[in-house]
Amino acid sequence: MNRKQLESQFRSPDTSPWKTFVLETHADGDDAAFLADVFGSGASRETDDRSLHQLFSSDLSITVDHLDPRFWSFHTRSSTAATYAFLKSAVARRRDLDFVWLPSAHLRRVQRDTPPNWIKTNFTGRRVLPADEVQELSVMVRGRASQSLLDLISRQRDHAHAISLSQLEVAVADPDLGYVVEAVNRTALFVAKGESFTLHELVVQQVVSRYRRLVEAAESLALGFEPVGDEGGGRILGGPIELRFSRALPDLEPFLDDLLSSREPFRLWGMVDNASDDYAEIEGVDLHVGQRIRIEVSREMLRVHLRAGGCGNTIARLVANLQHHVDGGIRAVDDRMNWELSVASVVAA
Amino acid sequence: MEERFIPINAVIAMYSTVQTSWPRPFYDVGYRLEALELPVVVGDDDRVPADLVGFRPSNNRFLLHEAKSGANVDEDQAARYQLADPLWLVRATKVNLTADEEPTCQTVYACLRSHEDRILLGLHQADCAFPLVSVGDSDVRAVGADFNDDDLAAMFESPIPLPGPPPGIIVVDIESADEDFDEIVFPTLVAEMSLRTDDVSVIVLAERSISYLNIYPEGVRRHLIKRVEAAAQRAAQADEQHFEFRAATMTRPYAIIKLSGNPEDLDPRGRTQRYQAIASRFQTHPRPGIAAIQEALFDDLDLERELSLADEDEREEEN
Repeated sequence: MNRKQLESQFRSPDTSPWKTFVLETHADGDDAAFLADVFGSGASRETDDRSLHQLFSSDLSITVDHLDPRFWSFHTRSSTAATYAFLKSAVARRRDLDFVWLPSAHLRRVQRDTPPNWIKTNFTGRRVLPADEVQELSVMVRGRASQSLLDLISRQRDHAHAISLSQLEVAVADPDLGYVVEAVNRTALFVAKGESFTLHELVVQQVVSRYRRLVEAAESLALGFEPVGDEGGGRILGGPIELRFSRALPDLEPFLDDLLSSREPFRLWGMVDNASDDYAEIEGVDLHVGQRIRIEVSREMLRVHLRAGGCGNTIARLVANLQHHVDGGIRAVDDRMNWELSVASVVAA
Repeated sequence: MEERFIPINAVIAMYSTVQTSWPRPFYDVGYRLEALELPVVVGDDDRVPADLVGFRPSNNRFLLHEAKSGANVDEDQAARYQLADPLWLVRATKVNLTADEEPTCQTVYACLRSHEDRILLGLHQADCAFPLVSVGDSDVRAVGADFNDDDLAAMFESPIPLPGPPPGIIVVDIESADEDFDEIVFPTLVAEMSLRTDDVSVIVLAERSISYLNIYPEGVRRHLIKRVEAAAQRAAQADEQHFEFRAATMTRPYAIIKLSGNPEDLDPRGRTQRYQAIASRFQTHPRPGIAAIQEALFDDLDLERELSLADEDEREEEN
């Protein structure tokens, strides 16, 4: 296997579409050893290219592109469900492997200049919001004017919270590279067909680049302490990342219950202190990665203390899941974070 | 967060390089927080531990902050603050002097609004003319002496509205109650458990529970580690199924906590239930039953179907 063969496979007609899953990894330099450790030494094979490996497991055949040291692409024509289950199982076992969690604006920006063929939104806030509010909203809008309809709903103050993009499809044409159709979901699964594998890779790379900036922005703000001498004293680095809800949460209690239930999607464990109807402090654990985390919550905001050395994916995952389950209009207070979260041109629009 | 930590956390927030809904008057004027808990040399051989030290590079001004957790002013401490030498502060904080002005420093006290009168009286009795940053529930204001920096004085000309409690950066110290240590140590044990750690020393536990442990001098660090050790013992008593405390021995001069019955060894549903059970043993906040979510699946396009298969799997996991 090499990149030419990968391209050839992409272009060859097949009953099953091409899938590219993107995972965030912390392989620490030895990619082959990492793959063997995660998936088993018998499952992983070298190829002609040191940045490509193949994975085999029962009916699955996956080509792993680890040219990007942090965000790896898992290409396959095998069953989506089986591949997803295979990768999800690995993510669940590991603390150095995670999905990519695209906020709505990142998903919306998959292809900047081309309106999507269709968009799906999926907001499921039943556990958090009272019955007299829009608790769930799943919409599929087909046609190049899809986004304008969703924008119409987003401008309704009482309903904006319920717009959370979950999937979209876009046709991408490039005068030099050709043509592909890409369907993408919020965990960065790209399902593609078309004539240009290079163009497919470019679409993936652009999405990952925006996401990387978001994750690195969060990491640059992480809170740390640096001693200044043996006799005591230290410097403080970074600070908490504050997220503002688009409107006040009607009730904090069910939100805390859902947030700290230890189960998907948030997988946060926590002890609540100073809880009132309007404010609570949480000393918690991000069970996805086993990191300690402090969170302060009011009906208007959620403040996350990501510790120095912590993974920025924690913030991206939290934001994406808050958009999906609590408030589709959530934003970051810090300008740089909000810029990377919202993606500049979407903010401008 | 204990109420007595509000003044120090409020001042930290007012210097924050990261935007939150909290006002940042010191940051906005150009001050940067250079140190926490810095032992400041005063006179020939005396020290005063400054809670916070800020510096404004554009005019070489230092601010020494004493954040009062209570209502009393230690007159001797206040008098020592007056003797702080700005040149020594340059060396201790290792800031770069780029402006032409000679370095100067001013001490600024901070307290809760409810303690404002007594702190002002205490400063008066100590004959110390310091500005006092008074933190209320809904605003922060400066009272007492004027700031010697006009820009800062202008910033505090009128009360600055507050959105709520400040971010909790400093949440325990050696005077904190046992419960406050429990609140930071128990989650750290759970974090270790989720990492499949077999055992953890109290030293590591302390470092991971108190992220700012390394800024304190050795004596304070040792004291804090002892408090963390005691919290670990209480955790083991509260949940014998998962935590076992083993005291220091002749060959191992520190205590360790053995972790067992790891939730990570269970299937997703069992794992969630195990974590919830640990949470209920440790506290506190009631957890409701988990409502099932049933969502419509739709679509008939090839590409859509492929995506939906993945999402369906995700929803099953959430339920």
